[in-house]
Amino acid sequence: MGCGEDPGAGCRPMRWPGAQNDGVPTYRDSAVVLRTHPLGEADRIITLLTREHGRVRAVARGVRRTGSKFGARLEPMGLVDVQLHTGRSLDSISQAESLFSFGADLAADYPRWTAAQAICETAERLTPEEREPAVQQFQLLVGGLRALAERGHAPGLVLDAYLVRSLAVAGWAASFAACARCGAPGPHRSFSLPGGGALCPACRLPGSATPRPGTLELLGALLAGDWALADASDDRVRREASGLVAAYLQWHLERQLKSLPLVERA
Amino acid sequence: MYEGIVQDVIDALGRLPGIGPKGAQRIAFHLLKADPEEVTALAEALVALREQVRFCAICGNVAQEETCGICRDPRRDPAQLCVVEESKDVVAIERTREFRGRYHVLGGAISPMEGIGPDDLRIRELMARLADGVVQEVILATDPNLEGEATAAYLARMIAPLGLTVSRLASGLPVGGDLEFADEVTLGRAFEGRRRIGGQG
Repeated sequence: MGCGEDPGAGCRPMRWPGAQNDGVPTYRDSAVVLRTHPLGEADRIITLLTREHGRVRAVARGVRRTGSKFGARLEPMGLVDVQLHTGRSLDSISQAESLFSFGADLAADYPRWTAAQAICETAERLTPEEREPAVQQFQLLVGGLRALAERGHAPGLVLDAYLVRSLAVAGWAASFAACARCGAPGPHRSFSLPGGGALCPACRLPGSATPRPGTLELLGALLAGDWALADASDDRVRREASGLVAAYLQWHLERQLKSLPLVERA
Repeated sequence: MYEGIVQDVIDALGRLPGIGPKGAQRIAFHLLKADPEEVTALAEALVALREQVRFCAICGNVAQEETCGICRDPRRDPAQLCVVEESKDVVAIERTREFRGRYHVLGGAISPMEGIGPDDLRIRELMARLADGVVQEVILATDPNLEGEATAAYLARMIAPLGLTVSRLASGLPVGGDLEFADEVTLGRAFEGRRRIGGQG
């Protein structure tokens, strides 16, 4: 999950511009399955974050039947190459090929799976408009799930790194070093949610938190991808950093994520 | 829009899972034409469903008494316990006639995105059942999807300190199907769960 790389680059689908199928417009894209909802007897509504078409909700017919070829491919946290028919209200999935399934590995490791759930819910919440391209959010999502599946870092750190970066991509980047109001170089002791991050003594707002000395440094490392510093941090600093990130996320989303309190942090 | 009671019935039916507005209208007019005794029997069955059906105090399955028929049956093996998500899974496993132990119904699967955590399921009751030393094997029969797998992983971790045998239902190829049509995930699982044949142990 390093900065600047494109984790989903190897899974770019073949371009199929303006493909038509008996007059029904179709398109093809690579996507991560964020969540699924049952629909009718055997169908599902699949929420996808696609590379080029942003968040899309589409119907997958018959996938709950045991004989379905789609069912296993359209499980949450799967990276898939999908072909969709454009519909009036919802598109429908006509083909799906599995590019990589993060879910199977993650489901066997409860702390990592709960972290992945929080990542998927955040990706859904940070892409509020359907069909609005969100390439960076897609890349971050693939990178976050891949980092969790590769088990190179603690799942709580991967989740917090994803959260601070996805918030930054969404336009809510917090400052963890320089003062968020006047830009005075840090480090600073105060952290304010409405203030946008670290604040210098002159700009300190009432109600600002005063985290431990290493906490803002850890958050800055997670944002910048300094994993050596992040992996060396101690549990108390990690817990405090997680609390600040969760509060900052909730402040901007104006609602708590359902999955975040259920994330099991070792 | 119809008047009064007809529209009320259509609206009520339309709120049921899997029934859309057209289906609700079709059922409502079918009930209007049907034998009055059949309709009365249906209405009485619905009222009885809500008034008389409860959940078994031991396993959480649907029951009409304090405990369900399976928990009361002395011929069932108390050493084997099959953990399922819903009561309908009990019925599915009973149809196989392969399992003679008892059940524990969790009431769903862990789903953080829906806000359902371990404390929202009957996991505490399961651990209390396992603590008395009667159960020797726990079979985790949660659904073969990610939430079911994660719930099984969580339960396996909780049960491990008790020293019981914990098994998971196998996943693989459907009986009667062709190998070439199997999706890669299912086929991969079938390879993982392959077993020896031909008397090699």
